[in-house]
Amino acid sequence: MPTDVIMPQMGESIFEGTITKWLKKQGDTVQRDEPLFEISTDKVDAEIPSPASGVLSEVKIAEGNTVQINTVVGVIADADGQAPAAPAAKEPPSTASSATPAASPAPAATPAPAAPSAPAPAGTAAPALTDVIMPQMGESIFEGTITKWLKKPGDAVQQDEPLFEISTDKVDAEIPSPAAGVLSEIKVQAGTTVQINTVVAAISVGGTAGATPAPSAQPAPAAATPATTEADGETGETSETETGERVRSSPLVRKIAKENNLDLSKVPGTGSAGRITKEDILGYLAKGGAAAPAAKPAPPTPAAPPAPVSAPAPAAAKPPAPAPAPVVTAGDELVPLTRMRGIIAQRMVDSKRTSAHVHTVFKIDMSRIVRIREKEKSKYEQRNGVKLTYMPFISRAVIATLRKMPIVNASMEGDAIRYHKNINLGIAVALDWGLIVPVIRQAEDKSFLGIARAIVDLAERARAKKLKPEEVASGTFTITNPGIFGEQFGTPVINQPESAILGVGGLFKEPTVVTDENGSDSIAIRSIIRLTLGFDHRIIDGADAGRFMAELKKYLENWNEDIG
Amino acid sequence: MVVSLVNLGRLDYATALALQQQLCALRQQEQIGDMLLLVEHPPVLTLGRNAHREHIVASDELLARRGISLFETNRGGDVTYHGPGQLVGYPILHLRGFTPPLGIVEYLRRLEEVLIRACADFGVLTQRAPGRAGVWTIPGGTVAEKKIAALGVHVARGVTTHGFALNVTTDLDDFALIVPCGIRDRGVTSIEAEVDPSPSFQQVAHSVSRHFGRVFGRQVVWLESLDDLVSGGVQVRDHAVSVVLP
Repeated sequence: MPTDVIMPQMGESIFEGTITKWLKKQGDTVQRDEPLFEISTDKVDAEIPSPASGVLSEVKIAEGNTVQINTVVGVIADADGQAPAAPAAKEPPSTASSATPAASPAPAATPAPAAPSAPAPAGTAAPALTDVIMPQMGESIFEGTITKWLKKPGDAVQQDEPLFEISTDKVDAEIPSPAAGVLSEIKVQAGTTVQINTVVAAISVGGTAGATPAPSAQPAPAAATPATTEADGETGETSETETGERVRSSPLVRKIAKENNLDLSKVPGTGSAGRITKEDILGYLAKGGAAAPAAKPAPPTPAAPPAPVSAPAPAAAKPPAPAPAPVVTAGDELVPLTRMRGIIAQRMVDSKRTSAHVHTVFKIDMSRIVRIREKEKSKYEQRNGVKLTYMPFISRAVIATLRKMPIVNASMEGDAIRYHKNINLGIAVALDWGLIVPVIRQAEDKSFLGIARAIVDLAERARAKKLKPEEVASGTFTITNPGIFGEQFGTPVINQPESAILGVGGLFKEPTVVTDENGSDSIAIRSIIRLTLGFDHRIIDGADAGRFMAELKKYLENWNEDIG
Repeated sequence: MVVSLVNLGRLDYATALALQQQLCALRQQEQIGDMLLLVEHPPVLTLGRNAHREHIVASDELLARRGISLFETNRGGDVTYHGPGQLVGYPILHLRGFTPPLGIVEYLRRLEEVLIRACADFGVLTQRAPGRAGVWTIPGGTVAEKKIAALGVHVARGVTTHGFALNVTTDLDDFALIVPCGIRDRGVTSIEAEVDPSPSFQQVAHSVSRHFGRVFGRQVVWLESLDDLVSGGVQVRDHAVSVVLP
């Protein structure tokens, strides 16, 4: 079936663009995502990829013309109506531009779609399936929630006829069908949030309505026991009458109403022509307008469509897996999350998860190391040609502690944790042209002197622009030393995809309570630094972080390693 | 996540363009990582895709006499001028390598952000102007805003070419040859013209690099030359560029 090629929107305030060049000629074969034409707007020039594989059957807008966004600028016809795996037989575009008549009786003859997941090309007459994808609704919007399917599997649908409703942060919209045919499969159910470009359904092109046997999923709700109908409220008849009111509103508002068991006709609309806006319904809910969330666990009565109360509280329908048991007192009010609150909650979780930072600060008594350094530093430099700073002491202590606690040297990969075999220690270096983190690879194999040399070498080469890009990659743990600016301690940001970072605070002489062997306390002047561990709480528990820091403290305060 | 920065120094436009195209192709094939090229061009006029020839005010004869060449390019935007004292940056970034992927307009806004922050480092307060990409000084009294940096980008298969041009010590008289970006009623300026004492070209380059790293959330590794990036080396000879991969 032919796919229209449209002029894309290149930015929120850009409504037209000029086609500067067609990269394919009429009749050329084109692959999906292969550059098809070039456009130019005020400030942006871009190659636009083809939305489908096939043959460019028609160029509707010639080069040099400026058109509004969403204008159809060309048409891609199927290469030949066969499975895309076999692009062998190329037909002239003229025949491909009209739906191949041979395909139309096919769905009636093949009862295959009963197993929608595997529409194996049984024979040559299998109907062409067109994927329906989640569209992008704005430049910074990458996911959306399908709020309602307007067609059932097996329904006939015309091209551009509304197929489903979606809701994103900023946009609510009815999405038209990309092709005429029969909705053969719904892959993403209503209520689910998906990334853009996800395939949400398939349309069998050239099919006849009703002829396709309804996929097995459909009859299930009808036969189900009343107990399970609550889960299927989406497809039940109740929702039809409920949302099919003449009250003007958006899909998002209707979804909020449904989630709150709210009769929309009771909500005053302030939008144009009495349209109920999101603010209206959220305001109404905030004022306690929410229908009492079914206090009695009454068995659902699907036979009574007009009573919206019959749908049980949605909060009960999808219990979050193992949540701590709530304290329940008589008279409490349980109000389901509105969509907005749901979004906020999700964003908070996302933010906490992707940046996932928790910090713990430990005070370390460096007096012993300060004495060693003062005593050794001049001889050390003569002997080894490298300055004795505090960084190798801290680095060595970190390496020793990481070996004991590999979880702090791990990374999260999808649903798994990768424990790194090597310790690749990143040392943050501030330069005039930015902050970079060169990495000491296999730091666990290096001696104190080796670490001291590596730190100086990396820092010097970073300043001299002699580092290679790969030398700042693949770290597994980072140390950053902002203490040189005199700070007490910082809350360093994890260098992704690592799981932890150690911030080194400034070294200060401080009055400290010390306890002698007899247990008597006195105040002494000690050299103190504060070390901060920033860690990814997804994989490192607070207790692990505490243990790591306690070990590190012990190593530093009781330093007994040969410094070379 | 690393952006390799290479300062090409003084380099003619044609060579820099050929180099960009090579690197863009390599970036598309994932053979190299993200890059930021910094360069200073000899005097040249370039025409974007939407350029109007009448926006070149100077006659061909005058341009020839002053040794100013003319290039038609595939970036967005109108005609612009490059010349000594102007810090030109060509980021070769894969926009889909960001999470979430960067849209083209978001990319432009971030480039503007980099330049606004860099200008602020030297006490030049700048802003965006609605409907006119680029970075503009803030108007005061009877002085209208002036353009201090121009932008024009090209994106192919998610990879950017072209970029920005920030006037540091540019000879502003040369802009009289054209109507910059097709905007007649606003002037141009440079960092040198806005503050005294003016920072060095090098300081501005460092500042741009620093803010580029922050705004795009990348470590910027400054390389001595392109040879450090592609171990096979890069040959630049007579406007022809060949990048040899290992």
